[in-house]
Amino acid sequence: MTIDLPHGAAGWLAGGVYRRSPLAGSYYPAELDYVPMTRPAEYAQGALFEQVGATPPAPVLVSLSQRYRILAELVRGLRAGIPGLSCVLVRVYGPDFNIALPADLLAADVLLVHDPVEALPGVLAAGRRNVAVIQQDLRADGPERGANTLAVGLVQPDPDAALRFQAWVRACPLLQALEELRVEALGEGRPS
Amino acid sequence: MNAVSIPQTQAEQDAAWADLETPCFLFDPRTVAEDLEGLRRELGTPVVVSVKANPVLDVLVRCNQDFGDGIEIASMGELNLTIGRMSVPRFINTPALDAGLIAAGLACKATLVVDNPHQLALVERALQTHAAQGKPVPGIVLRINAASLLGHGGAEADHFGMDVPTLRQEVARLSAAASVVKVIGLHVFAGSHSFARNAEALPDRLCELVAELRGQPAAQLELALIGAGLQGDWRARGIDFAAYRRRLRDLQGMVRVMHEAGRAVFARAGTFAVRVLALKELDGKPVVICDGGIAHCFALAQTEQFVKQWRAPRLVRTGAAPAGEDGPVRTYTVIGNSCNRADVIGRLASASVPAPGDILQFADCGAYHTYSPTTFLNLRPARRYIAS
Repeated sequence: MTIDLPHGAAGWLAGGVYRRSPLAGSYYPAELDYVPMTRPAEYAQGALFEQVGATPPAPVLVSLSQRYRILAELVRGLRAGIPGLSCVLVRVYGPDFNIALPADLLAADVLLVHDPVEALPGVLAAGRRNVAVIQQDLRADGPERGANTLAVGLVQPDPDAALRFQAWVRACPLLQALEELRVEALGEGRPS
Repeated sequence: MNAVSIPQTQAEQDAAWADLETPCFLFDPRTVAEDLEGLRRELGTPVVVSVKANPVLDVLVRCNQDFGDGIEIASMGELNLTIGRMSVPRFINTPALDAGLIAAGLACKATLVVDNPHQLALVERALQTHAAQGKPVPGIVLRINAASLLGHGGAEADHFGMDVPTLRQEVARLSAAASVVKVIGLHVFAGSHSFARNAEALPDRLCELVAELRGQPAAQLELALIGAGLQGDWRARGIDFAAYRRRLRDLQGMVRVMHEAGRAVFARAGTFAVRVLALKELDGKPVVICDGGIAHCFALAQTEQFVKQWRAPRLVRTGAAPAGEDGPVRTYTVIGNSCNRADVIGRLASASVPAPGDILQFADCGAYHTYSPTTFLNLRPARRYIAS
């Protein structure tokens, strides 16, 4: 998973894929609910959501609440770890109607979007630096597409923020639980 | 609990339990996958998983990639549970199959298991409509009554499926009429806990029947689906699976043999837990009163046992209330909260004195936990948790 930055922007990205739950050992309440159907056409349409093919879908590893908790935990970690963090763009599929969003994801410095990369040019054009981006396609339910990847980027970082970002990545259990974790510079030339 | 806490030690796991609301079930999808894979290995065939044994959507979704051989659906409710969520083959199998469930099943490309001639007529009409609309017509599976297949001294009599003469007659009728219905498989289930009793005769009888029917145009048999009937603790039963696999070879030479299992897949993967509400002494015998019981986990009532052997729960201290000092081992009668004199769910032999707020865990309660009979007293249903 990578992030295509707008022209002239630079940053750092840490990302990888979960092969097992990053919360292994913890317990969560069952929360998935079914859709009441009765008519044949509803069953035919419902079946279209099933990912049938030669390659099985990535396994569901987290619940809907756990996915929010992971994102909220990352937002808290970024706030605590990155000096001068201006805002966090977070990819969510939303809305998961039965599940409340954590307060951390509803804060004024968080922008929940379907595609953070699309939102990024506008945010940078407003002159913001130290903009964090959380990209993810963690599967929490059968109909959802995704490969259980997670990436956190810091765009237009100040020099100290860039160093602190890399230190935070090394210390963040949720990121260290990723397989194939890569930390890489983004954009045109290494950020200062 | 912290979002990234990972309890590793027994003490950490016990601490995690203290956060759970009770009564509750905790299910572990990894154990489900492990036991399913073990069953496949021992039976030597694919295994279709019976949803009725654990209709918890969170568990099913987590196990989707492990259930690739298929799932067995027994109601419209179970079908609703899995539509859009599970990307595996479905077998719809219930003596209550009606026109609505037939239509729903065909719409989502499930394989229908037909119990009786009346159902077969309904299915035939539905498939004729299907064919008239230019849709591909799926094959069906016919269910044989196990006692009829095995004959005297075989399976205990039950009401499932068709007796062998009826099945022959229906296949002959379909063949003679050049029906749109093609029978692609036979299904038989000789009852819960019946595996060992029928491990020799059932493959042989099924083999004979498949060989006999294969000559008929309507019987394009490619599948034999056998209800396993294994106990939840099948690993501890000393079953000679190697002999069983040898017994299946002739049948496997003719058709793809699959087993269907529920209890054997889910039992070990679930723990039922209650909290201690109070202790009392009755004529010098200690009693522990809990916040859940047979109304939540009917299996603990042991109605399937001729002689009840009370389950022994594990005591988890939570420190919610001061506990008495340890002393000699005493045997506590553990009772549930349903105001029913039959609500005795276990015997706890412990030197530690249970205290209100402590948790009692009953292992191996992962199968058929929804088979609880009552809304008596409007008791709160058991919470359901999943292990990450």
